[in-house]
Amino acid sequence: MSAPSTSKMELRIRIACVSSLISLALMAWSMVDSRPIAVIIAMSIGQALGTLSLALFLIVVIWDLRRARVLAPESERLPEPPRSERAAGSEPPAGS
Amino acid sequence: MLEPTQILKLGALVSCALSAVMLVAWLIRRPPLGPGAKLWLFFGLGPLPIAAALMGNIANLEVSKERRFCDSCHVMNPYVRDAEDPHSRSLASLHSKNAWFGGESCYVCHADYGMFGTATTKIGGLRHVWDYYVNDWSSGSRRPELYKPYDDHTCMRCHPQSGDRRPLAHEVHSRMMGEGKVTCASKGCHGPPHPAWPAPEGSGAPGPQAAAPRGGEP
Repeated sequence: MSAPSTSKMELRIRIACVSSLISLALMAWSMVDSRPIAVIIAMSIGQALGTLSLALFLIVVIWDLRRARVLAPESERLPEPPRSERAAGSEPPAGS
Repeated sequence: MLEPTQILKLGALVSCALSAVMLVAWLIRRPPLGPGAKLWLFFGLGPLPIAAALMGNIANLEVSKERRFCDSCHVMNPYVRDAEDPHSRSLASLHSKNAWFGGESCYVCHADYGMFGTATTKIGGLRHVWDYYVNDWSSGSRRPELYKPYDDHTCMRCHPQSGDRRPLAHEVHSRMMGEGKVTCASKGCHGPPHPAWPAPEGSGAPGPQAAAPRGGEP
């Protein structure tokens, strides 16, 4: 999966921020107005939106790290040298 | 002096406010996504909202145990009015006068016991709310009902029936209690727990009887 462009990542973060602001508003509503419907909405929709916004932000961070090759997938990493070359000089000669 | 629930609510509101300020500031300024901006967003989207949710959940669970919370659904008003009536002799009213748990008398008498008692009680409450919103309660003939028989063990948490001090009437009725024919709150024993449900206005018919032998009582 290729990493999205910077503008797409910023769009996703903006969505996460707005979603988180809505969830914070719902949670704050239940704090000042403790009626059943406010409590139920805050503890279901509010927390689901908050969790989704954090997950969206973490996905963007992971994409960004992969783009910067900090967390590059296996296929994009440089091939490792063959085992015989790596071990040359450190293994004892055969038959010794 | 603030109560623990109020402190939790205050903490949750402060966390919400801090998080909102951080997110709005980022949305207005929109700095490039450098390490500083990522850390800023992480605190705005992670630890602060999580702290708000944790404190808010605990505060909401505590608030939902209070009798005034039950009273905020108008179908519960007749029960709460009776519980708060100083002249009423119903079981609910007698228990609501208790200095230790009177303010949470609905929850104390109707909560399930055990490790997950609070969770199962709240799930049962959600079912009542769902039923209220999806069915027609406007006629006034419907009343809140229990979904399962009232468990006498709830009474015995505070009124244990140990061997020598067990009254004769309890000995006599123990078999019937085991068979589910009578409960502590049955009419003629210690009930009725609540007054009769008010009849719908204009119907001219009396409301349902207060105490059913098993189940059916809120």
